[in-house]
Amino acid sequence: MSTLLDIRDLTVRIDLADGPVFPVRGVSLALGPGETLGLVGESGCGKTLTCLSVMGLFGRRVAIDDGEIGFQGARLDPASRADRSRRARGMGMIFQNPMTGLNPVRTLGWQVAEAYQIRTGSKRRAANARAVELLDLVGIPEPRRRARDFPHQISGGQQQRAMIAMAIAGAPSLLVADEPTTALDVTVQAQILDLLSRLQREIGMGMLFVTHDLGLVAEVADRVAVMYAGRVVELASAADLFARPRHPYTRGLLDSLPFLDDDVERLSPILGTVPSLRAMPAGCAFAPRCPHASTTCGRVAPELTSLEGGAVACHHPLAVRTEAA
Amino acid sequence: MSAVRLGLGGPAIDHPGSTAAALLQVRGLSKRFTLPRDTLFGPRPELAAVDDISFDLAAGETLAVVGESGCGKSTVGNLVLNLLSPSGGSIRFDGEDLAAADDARWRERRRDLQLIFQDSRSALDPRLTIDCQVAEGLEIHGVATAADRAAMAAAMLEAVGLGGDLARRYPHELSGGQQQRAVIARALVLEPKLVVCDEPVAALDVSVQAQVVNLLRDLQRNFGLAYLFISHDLSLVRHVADRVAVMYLGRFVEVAECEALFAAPAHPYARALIGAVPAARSRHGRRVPPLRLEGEPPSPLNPPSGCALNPRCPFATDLCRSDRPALRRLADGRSVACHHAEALPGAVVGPDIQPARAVS
Amino acid sequence: MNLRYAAIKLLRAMLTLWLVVTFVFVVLRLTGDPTQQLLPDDVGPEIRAYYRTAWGLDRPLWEQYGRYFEAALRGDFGISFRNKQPAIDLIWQRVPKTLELGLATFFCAVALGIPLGVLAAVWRDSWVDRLTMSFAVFGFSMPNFFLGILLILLFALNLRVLPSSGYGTWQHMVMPVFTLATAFAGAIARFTRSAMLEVLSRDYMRTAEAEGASRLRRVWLHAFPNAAIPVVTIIGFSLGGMIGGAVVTENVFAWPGVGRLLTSSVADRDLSIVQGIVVLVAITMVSANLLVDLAYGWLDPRVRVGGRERSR
Repeated sequence: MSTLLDIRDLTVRIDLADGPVFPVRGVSLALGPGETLGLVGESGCGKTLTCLSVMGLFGRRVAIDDGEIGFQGARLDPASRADRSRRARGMGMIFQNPMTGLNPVRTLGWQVAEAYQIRTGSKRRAANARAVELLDLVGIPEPRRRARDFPHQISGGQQQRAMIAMAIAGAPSLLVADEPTTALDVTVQAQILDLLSRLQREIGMGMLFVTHDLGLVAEVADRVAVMYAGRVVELASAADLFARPRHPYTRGLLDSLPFLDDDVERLSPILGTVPSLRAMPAGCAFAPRCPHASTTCGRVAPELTSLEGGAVACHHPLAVRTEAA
Repeated sequence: MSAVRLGLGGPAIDHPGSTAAALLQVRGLSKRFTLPRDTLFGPRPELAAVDDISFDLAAGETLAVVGESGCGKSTVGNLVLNLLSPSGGSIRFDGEDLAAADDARWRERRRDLQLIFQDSRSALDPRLTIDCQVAEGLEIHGVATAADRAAMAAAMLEAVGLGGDLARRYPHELSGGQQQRAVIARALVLEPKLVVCDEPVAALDVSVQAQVVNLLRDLQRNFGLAYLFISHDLSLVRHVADRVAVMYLGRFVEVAECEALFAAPAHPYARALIGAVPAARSRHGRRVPPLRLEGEPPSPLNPPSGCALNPRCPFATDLCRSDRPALRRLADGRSVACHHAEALPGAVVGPDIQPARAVS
Repeated sequence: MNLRYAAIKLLRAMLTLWLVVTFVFVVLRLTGDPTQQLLPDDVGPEIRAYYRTAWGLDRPLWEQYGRYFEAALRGDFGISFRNKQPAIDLIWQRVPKTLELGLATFFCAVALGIPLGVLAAVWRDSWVDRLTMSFAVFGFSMPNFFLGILLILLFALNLRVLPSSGYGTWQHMVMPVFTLATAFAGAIARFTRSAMLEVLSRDYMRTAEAEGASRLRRVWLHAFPNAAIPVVTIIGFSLGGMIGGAVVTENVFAWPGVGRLLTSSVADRDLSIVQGIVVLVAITMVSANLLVDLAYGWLDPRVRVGGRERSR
């Protein structure tokens, strides 16, 4: 299987007034065509910045410090104009909040048509016609009429459908979805997830699915990468990750969630809080909160190493243990 | 009218097995908002945010209100706390009719009714250290001497895990979880009887949520608090609640014991909500199969006739489109507002011995 | 267009105008007996009484107000004391000249201020930004009369390339327009810049970047239509400042417009003309604000097409 997206040792730097911080530190990920890679972690773990780096969307004072991103077999140069258009044609992105992600003064039809026009270089008239088809494809009823609507006139779920229509216009080979259902109602989330998986099958897109919701990622992803404090700490198939977490952080996250069918008196939280970007521990970033930490953990940051079909960045990976309450 | 019709023994959702002495008794509670006109001289549109809601809450009990954004669940909390004034219905707290209470009486009562909500950062004054903010509530209510107040604040902060040096910090020097603990300490130092928790952990990171949830449960046990717990997170609700009210478009559609609801929800909307929780959030796989609803919640400005869920419900019949189902008691004690609750595929509850059907 | 919105704005505009007209009446009556102020001190009481009857000052107040209001509706503000012509005719003669100056200033200021503001925002913290902002600060901190005199000294007296004052050729317009436009353009540039900065940081700008839209496209097709909404509002509201500036500037450059007429009429105590000009200025301001409100409604689809009928 060839690789669609190949992130190698990605380090992202943000230059703040009092010096640089590194919210993404040496992340390596690979994604095959048609595959869904889940990227989970808590806020500030670097998952969104990793996505934005893939898309080449850098805000002020944000830059790739080290590492490279390969797409469809060739390295992407952030400065190259040709690579920028290669990226635009090959990738689409969906953001968390559709209400703010759509331009309030442009009609849905205009926005979808523009995305199609830029990706395919087609004429405006053809793009307008295609926009209506795309709105229909993402399940917006009466697409011809809705194409003339402004974002504020439609509901949150429909807005997210319109965002998806923009992202898949021109059939990109990679879809980056950053918390695409977080802002939506539960009963609508399921509809959007159904839509995404249908489109993925039809277009054959690879998908990088970013979320903080462990339960959700188990539903949609083939493989899951767990991020903590700017690093990938565990990589495994979705089934393995939930059945046999190997990193103490993954285990801790799973344990801290209440189950629908399990009566525990108390939840088991992870003690402490996520370290600040300015005060990263020298060794493993999770060591100060980890029940298994040794002196090595405090000194040496563990590398992500392969382990039984997955990979884990831990000096003392958890033994596979059977279900116990 | 509804309040009268429901009476106290009607299909109002009294806590199965509870005594009559509920801490909070809500009957026929409604809230309508009037909006600006659309046309020059047209009628002012009305929005029924909360429509004819009744429930009891006993001391030490947790009633969760779940539903999607805009269903009115936060409005219920605000009405109970008198942050909004109801358009109809009654709220009795500790045997006292709160609708009749004047401002002075409310100021006294306020101590017993506290609120913890989602955005802890905006709930704290950035210019005061948190021990001052915790003591401030006591001062407002004229409790104890200054020295005693400081001691009480310190003890409360200790109890929520913000003892020692942390207590003298400013809000911005605390993490999100610590800020939420400070908010909790400030609400609980007044020794309230009822706390409305409006999405209390939704803004926190997953690994920190569990800490705050544990804290809320410990404090409930220690102080005998009643919680009105408003949340959209069903697995969290399953963990903390004794009873759950499922809300859709301003009305309760199902009220049941927590365990019974999650084992087998009776209302199609409750089924859809619980069925939408990812399978990974159950240890032994889904018990409630997914039920896909069509479309999205309608605008409360323009609610469908009959059952509010009928345009989205796969089981809807002509009856659902014409008649709005009343909340009625089923055999196992839960209350459901669905014409076909017993007849739906997979229904676990048989028909009841004729519930006290209202004469309207 | 949302009819209700437009109708409300129109009603408000009418109400404001009525208040201004009434205010003028009240002020004139409150300042005492007009015959005291307008007639020489040494006229006898019978002459005073004659004028009181002639001007209707012996009538009950409400009747005076009714007459005054009805006349004002017809545009009749009385006869100028100085040259015995209807005040409104004298004012109308001057209006085109002021309009000429005002419109030229308006277009120059907008044509200069908006692009500068946009560029300053796009190249934030660059030399373009710093230069534009220095110009803006210079523009609105420099008093009109002072800038005008400086220009006269430089271009008319020293370099002798432009006429120092008067009206007629395009050369006459250069300095007054420049004087008035600097302050206005500076204000527009500043507001445009901050509106653009705000819009550029919005999520939808990131969406546009993600789909590969070029920078030019993002700035002019995505960001600017959003930023234009607050900018239009500000432009409308700063017209008042421009009218004040026009009075000063017309005097500095001896431009025969309404502003100059106003100052000379105030000096001559020519009340009917002053009255007429005050009402005219009020009408201009109110219509400008009305236009802004309507433009706002037209530019912002959230106002233009109500958002209530959210479909399912």
